[in-house]
Amino acid sequence: MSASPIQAMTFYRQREAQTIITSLRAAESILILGETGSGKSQVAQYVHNQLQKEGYLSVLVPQDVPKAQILSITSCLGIPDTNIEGGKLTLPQLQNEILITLEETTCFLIFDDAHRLTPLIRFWLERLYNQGQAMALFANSPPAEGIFLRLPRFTLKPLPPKAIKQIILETAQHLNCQLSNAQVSQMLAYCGGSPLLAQRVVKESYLEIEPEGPDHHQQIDITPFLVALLMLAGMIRIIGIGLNRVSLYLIGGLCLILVGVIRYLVYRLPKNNRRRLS
Amino acid sequence: MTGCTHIIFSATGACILLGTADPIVLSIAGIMGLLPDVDTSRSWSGQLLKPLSHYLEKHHTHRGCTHSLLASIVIAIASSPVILLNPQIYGAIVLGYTLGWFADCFTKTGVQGLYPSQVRLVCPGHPKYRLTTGSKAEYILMAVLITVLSLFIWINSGSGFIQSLNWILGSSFGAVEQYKQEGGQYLLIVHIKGRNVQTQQPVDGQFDIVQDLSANSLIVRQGDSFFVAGTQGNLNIEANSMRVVGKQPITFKVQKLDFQDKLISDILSNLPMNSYLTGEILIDGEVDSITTPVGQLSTIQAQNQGRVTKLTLISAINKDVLKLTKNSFGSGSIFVRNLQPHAAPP
Repeated sequence: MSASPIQAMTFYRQREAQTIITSLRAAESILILGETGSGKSQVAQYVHNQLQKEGYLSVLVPQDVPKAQILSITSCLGIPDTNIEGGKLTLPQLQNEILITLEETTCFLIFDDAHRLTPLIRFWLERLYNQGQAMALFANSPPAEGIFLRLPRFTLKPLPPKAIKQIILETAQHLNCQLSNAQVSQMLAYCGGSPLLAQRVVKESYLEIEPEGPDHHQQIDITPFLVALLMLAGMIRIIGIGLNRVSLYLIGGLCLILVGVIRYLVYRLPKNNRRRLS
Repeated sequence: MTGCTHIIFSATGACILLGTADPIVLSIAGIMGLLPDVDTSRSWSGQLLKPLSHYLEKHHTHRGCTHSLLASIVIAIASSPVILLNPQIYGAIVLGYTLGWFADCFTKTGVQGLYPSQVRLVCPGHPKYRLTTGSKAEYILMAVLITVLSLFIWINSGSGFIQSLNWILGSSFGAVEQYKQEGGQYLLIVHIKGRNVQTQQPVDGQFDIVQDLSANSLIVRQGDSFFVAGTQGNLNIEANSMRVVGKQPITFKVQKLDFQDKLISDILSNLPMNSYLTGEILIDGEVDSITTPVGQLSTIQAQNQGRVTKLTLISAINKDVLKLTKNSFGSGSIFVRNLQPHAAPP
C-alpha cells in the first residue's frame, strides 16, 4: 500500500494531454486551468513523460523557491551555474543564460501550480514567451494579468462519473477494501468529478471517517433563488389591494415579513469559505 | 434524509400547495416522496424495488438522475392519465415526487437537480448547516414539519387558510368577506363581542348575518332586532371581534317587484313572511308611527311627503311591512330576498 496511489491510477485525461502535446509541438504555449484535485499534476506529469518518450527535451519545473526552479531548468539544459572565474551565477544571470540557450535549443517548459509562481518568474516567463518559447502552465484560478492573460487556455472539466467510479474502485483495490455498489454510488456524490476527492473519500471510508461534506465546486447554492421565489408571495399583497380584499392584503404582508425574517436568518449564516477548511 | 422525513415533507408540501386535507391525497404525496431514493438499496423504496435500485446504484450517483427536474417531468408525463381520474391525485403524485428530491437539497451532498448536468443543488451554501441523515437537526426539522402539517390539515379541513386566519383575528372584514363568498348558500351566524354605541351596553352574543353594508360593516339580526355591526361607519354595535361560528344551508332567491297604485297587502301577502324587502314604496296617505328601540337599526323608515308617505326599506321583514301598510294603496320598486333553510342541518 503506498501513501499516494495516484501514479498507479488509470489516466483519464488522454484527450486533454494530447491537446497540450500538439500545442507544444506547434511551438504554442498553453495555460491549463482546473480546480484543486482536477488532475492537473497528473496531466503535467503525463505530458512531460510523453514528450520525453518522443525524444523532446522537456522540463517539469518543481514547486520550489525561484532559484531552485531556475536551477532545475539550467541543469536540464546543461547550463553551468558558475561563471568562468568559478563564481556562482545570480538568479537574473541564470535567467539570461536560459533565455540565450532556449533561442537555439528546443525545450518545453512545464509549470505545475503556476498560480504560485513569484512575479519574478512570471515576468521572466513573459520574456520567454515573447521570444517564442513554448510552455505549458497548469494553474488553479491565477490572476487575470500578465502571462496568464496572454496564453491561450482551456479548463480541465470534471471527470465523468464512470471515470470517477473507476478511480474509486482502483483506490479501494489499492487499499484492499471492499465497497458495495451502494457505497460507491454514495461516494460519487462527494466527488463532483474530482479524482483527488474520489481517492480521499475512499480513504475516509477505509479509515471509517464520516465525510464532512463535499469540497468540490460542482454545486450551486440555491438559497437566493428560494428566497426570491418566496418573495413572490408578496404579489398576494398587490392582488389584495387590486381586489380590495383586506385578508389577501394581510396575508401578503405576513408572507413578506416571514420571507424577510427567513432571508435575514439565512444571510446571517457564515458563508462557505473555500480557502479554509473548517 | 430518512424515509419518515421525506414522507412528512412531501405530505406537508402537498397539503399547503394543493390546499387539501384529504388523507388519500396526502398519503400518495408522502409515498411519492420516497420514490426518488429508489437509487439506493438502503432506502425503503430501494428495498421494495430492488432490481431497479441495484441497477441505478450500479450506473448512477446517489441523489443523481432520480433527484432531478428531468425525473419530475418523466413522472408528470408517465402519470398524466391520472389527471383524467382525479386532478388532485395527479398533483399529489408530481408534487410529492418533486418535493421528495427537493428535500435532499438540504443534505450535505445536495442533488443533481439539473441532471444530466453534474452540478449539485444545495441549500444553504455552507455544508456545516446542511442536514446529515439521522442527525438531531433532522429530527427537529421533522417535529417542525409535523406541526406545520397538523396546522394546515386543521386549516384545510375547515374553511381554508384565509377564513381560518380571519377567524383567528376575529376581524369584521373577514366576516364581510365570508358573507360575500358564502352568503348565497348559507345563513351565517356570527359571534360578536363589542359594545352598543348608542346604549353603551356590552355586546357578547350570536347574530344572524342579514346583509353586508361596507367592507367593514354588516347588518345583523338577533330575533326581531336588527343592528349595524362593524368597525367603521354609522354603527349600532362597534365590534371588537366578529367570528363566523356557524352556518346553515339555505336556498337563496332574489326577485324584483315593481307595482303602481296597487293594494300593497295583495302584493306582499303572496311573498313569504320572513323574506327581506329592500327598496322604496310610496303609500297614499299616512302610516302608523314606527318606533325602534334605542341602539337598534330601523329597517323601515317613513317620510311624510304631503299626501303620500315614502317608506325606505333596508332588509325589512315582510310581515313588519305588511303590518304597517295594510289596506294601503301605493307604488314602489322593491327587491325581495327569500332565505329558505334546508331541511337537513349542515
